[in-house]
Amino acid sequence: MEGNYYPLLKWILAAPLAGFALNGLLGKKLLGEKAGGIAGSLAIFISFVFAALSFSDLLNLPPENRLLRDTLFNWISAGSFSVDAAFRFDPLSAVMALIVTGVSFLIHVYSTGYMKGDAGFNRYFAYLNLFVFFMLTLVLADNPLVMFVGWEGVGLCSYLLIGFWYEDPEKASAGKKAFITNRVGDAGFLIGLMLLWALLSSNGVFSMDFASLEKNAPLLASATVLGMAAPTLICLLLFFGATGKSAQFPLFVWLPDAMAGPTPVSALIHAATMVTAGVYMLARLHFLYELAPKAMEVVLLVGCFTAFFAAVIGLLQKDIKKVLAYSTVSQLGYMFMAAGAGAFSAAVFHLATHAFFKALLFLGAGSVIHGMSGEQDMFKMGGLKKEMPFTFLLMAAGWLAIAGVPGLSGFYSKDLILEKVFEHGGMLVWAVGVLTAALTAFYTTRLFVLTFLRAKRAEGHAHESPLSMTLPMAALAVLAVAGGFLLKDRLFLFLDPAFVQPEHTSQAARLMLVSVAAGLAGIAAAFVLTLPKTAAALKSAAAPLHSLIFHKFYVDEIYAFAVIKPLKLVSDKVLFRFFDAGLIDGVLVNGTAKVSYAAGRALAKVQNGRLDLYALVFAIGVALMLFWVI
Amino acid sequence: MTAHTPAVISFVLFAIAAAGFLTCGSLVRMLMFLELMLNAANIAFVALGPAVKSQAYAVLLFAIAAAEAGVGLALIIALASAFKTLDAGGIKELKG
Repeated sequence: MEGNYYPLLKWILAAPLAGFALNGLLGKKLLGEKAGGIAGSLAIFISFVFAALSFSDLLNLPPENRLLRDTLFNWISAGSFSVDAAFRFDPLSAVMALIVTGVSFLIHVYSTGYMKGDAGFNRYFAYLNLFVFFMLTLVLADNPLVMFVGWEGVGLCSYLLIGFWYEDPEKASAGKKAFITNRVGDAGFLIGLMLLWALLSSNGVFSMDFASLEKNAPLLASATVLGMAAPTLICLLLFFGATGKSAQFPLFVWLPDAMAGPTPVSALIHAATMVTAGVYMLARLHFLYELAPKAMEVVLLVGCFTAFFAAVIGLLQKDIKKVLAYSTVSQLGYMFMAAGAGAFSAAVFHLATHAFFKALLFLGAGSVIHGMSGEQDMFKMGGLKKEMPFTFLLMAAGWLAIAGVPGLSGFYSKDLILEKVFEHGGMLVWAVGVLTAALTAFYTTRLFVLTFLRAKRAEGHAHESPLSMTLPMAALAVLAVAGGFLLKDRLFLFLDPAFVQPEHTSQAARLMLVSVAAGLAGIAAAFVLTLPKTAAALKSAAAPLHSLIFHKFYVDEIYAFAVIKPLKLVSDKVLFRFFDAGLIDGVLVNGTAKVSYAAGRALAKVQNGRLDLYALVFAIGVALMLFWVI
Repeated sequence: MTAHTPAVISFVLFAIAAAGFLTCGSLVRMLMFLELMLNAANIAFVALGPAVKSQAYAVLLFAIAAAEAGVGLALIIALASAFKTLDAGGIKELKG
């Protein structure tokens, strides 16, 4: 291990932290908008350069020994429990680090245009830099505890950025919703980690770094906890954490609301990077999941259900960002399907392509919103093809990529996932996956058609966005178009040196044909069904279904009724009124005071100023003392 | 008269003085009973203690008793002029 010591890694992390300090400490008055934007973007670029340098050094190592490590200091040392603040750079974290720094850099540049003139410009860049720092901590961590620090840190930055415009109570509460929902998942993650540590240490394993976990995980195979196989329970708890961070059923509700933040934030945090942390965690701990086939099945089914469910909700959303938000939930479902089917590399592949095309779509949406001066309702857009030609073209690339048009990045990754799911997950899951692909094509086409094609519906003139916004989009568009083709085999060979190029069987070709057909059918259907006449006819024909989907299956309302209301009731009546106000304030705090007061009142009667009585009490006291002495 | 007689006289005198101190209401009488208690203690010193040492204490006690009588009478005169009474039960300023 010592031979792999690589001191460059810490600088990947240090650059965004320095950017955060610069923007956060100096702020608007001392640094100003322009210098702040440049410093923030430059910090990420430096980080990207270091990641690329590390990557090229990693490539020079022999494939079976591709690992670089950097230990900063001994973080926790308590008895036999010792954790280092250590980082690792292996193929998986290399891919993630490059995606995170690369996409972040583009989005930082985009933000300099998008956030221009905002009162909180420097605060925004400080948060964004801090987010990149924590995301890289998560990705490069060498043990689950350092990973957890990053995990919580990105959650914090997500909260800060969703509620960035905190003067608006609705946006501030969206931030809180995201934070609290994530907290529920994090509890599962933490319990899973503790269980893992407890079981390993009882087997005499005290180091928590990933290499040692991988080596010692088989020790847990036969252990049971509460009548469940230990790996299954641990994996389910960790997966629960992932459902929070990666917005899977049942904890997905925060992501659509998270769109309250600035659009580049939605692109970076709530589409390309942070929400994929759950998928990354599963891929990182794949050796644990491979011990727990039952947990894998749960992952597969939850992913499958979420992918379908969110895609259905996305069909009828009005807000352009909400469509993309549900699309993100749905695409993350695909990644979990892949992980559940044991195809972790396919999950990471889709993670990468999704980062490209979804970031592109979000930035495109941001450009449209920017051009329309803040309008987000798609039914008030239309005809933007002429007014925003660059955005139109770039967005078209993203649209075709996510719709699964052959040759573009989304096609390769989605097709691969569906193939793996067919092999390992069964017919039904595959069929739902294909149906979801058709729905995906439908809602993205609907978004595109309503926004850019159709006749103009709004007053006023939209303007094209500045170069600082369109150039990053162009870079992402190149990746969204060519990324799949360039990455497909190289990525697998890189992630898994033992990877063997699969033979393209006739079955695989048939599966591919079905999913492509589904995608094209979705596109075609969207063109027809979004015509005002057919849309109205369809709406009246299936009114109950329409309202069910339009109201997002009333999931928020169900949560409000089943979770939030009882929780509030218990908090108010039991915790607040009974325990806090009644027991703690009433009995303990005020009770103590009342007892002292009453005792004082009672004793004050004795001090009545009567000398003869004092003398009597004194005499009795002396007599008693004499009695005791003698 | 036995060897115990002075001790018995001392105890009886102390008991009478203490009872009088507790039962009488007048401040002057209380001071007189206080003197009696001191004298009872003096008898006990002289009768029961080792020869020279306790006799020295007895002489010391005379001095203390005289000083106490002086201070006590001065206080009583001050109280009497302030409250127009010599009854201990009538002075109740010092209560909680």
